[in-house]
Amino acid sequence: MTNPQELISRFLYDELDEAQQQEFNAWLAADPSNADLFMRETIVHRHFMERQLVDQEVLAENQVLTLACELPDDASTAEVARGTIFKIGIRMAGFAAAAVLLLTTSLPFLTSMTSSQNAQPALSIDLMLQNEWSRMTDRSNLQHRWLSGDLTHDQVVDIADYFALESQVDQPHKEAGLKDLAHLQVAFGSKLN
Amino acid sequence: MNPSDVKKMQELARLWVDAQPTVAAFISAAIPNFHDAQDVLQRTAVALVQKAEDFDPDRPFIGWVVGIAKIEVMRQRRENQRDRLQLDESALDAVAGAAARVSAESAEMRQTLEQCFEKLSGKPRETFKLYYFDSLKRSRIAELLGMSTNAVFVALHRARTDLRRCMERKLGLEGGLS
Repeated sequence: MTNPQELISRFLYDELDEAQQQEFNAWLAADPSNADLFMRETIVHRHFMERQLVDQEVLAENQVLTLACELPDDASTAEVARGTIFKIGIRMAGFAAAAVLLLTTSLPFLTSMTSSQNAQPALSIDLMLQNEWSRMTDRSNLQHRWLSGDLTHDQVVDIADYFALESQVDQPHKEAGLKDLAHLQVAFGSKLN
Repeated sequence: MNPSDVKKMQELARLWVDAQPTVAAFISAAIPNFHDAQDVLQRTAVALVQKAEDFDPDRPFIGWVVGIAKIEVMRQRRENQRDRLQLDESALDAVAGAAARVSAESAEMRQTLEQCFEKLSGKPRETFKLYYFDSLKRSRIAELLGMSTNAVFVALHRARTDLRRCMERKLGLEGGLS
């Protein structure tokens, strides 16, 4: 019998062979306290994996990668970023201008930054929530907002903008941005159309 | 959406924010690849929205949402055949049960971990930082620190185990292996 602690580490670092995997499965199912221990180990593992992402976002944010801007009230429709992939209604002309500006001026900078510092650029977006502007920089936080279920049309469009931009300027999150946008369209299709 | 639905969704959102770290840990326990696990976490959030009508506030939220996450884990496995080795059904059920049990401790655990990390020292700390914070592969860490890849594995194992033990000690939790 392999030491259970070693089995946990081998599982988390993807080093289990087939016999060890079977041993690990049997150990987990044998006693609830074994599964509890594994969950705690996974919480440790995941906590620090997540912190890596947070650190990268803060770094990127400090390097003035923000899309937030003064938002005029007039409505308009614009094609987001290079005219590719998605056409999304953009409520604020100022926002569209900032988005295009970011894409046209910052891509070389983003590219060099990601390659030289292994950092992922973070986007941010300002949303009016409960009568206050809130700066959102975290994708999971935005996802939580969907769950509140009472987003206005404009807020849904803003969040869609965020993911659309992310899918284009933030290479490491490209797929995730596209998927989030697709999910948003499923959840709030009528508000986006 | 009528006012009671809005209230229900707001309650759901609040519960999700609290439960999300535990759900994320459960998914990571089932799917070791971090990026795949993130993907499944996102799918779980979307599934939660879609199943919101089924939400029963009188039943434990964590059990319900872990059940949804488990469905998404199984779906991901069907789509992604490269996960040759994985937890079987019984093991996955055991881990889902554990997720529900440790959920209440999860927030405290995460806070305590930061204090415990400050106590790590030497090679385990250095190795841990390179792997978790700098996202380096173990082979690269081995090159940088002049260690074998097996020694890197051992250092990571030791650091993570020390952190978990420290966390359990501080929170007075039982059940850890020595």
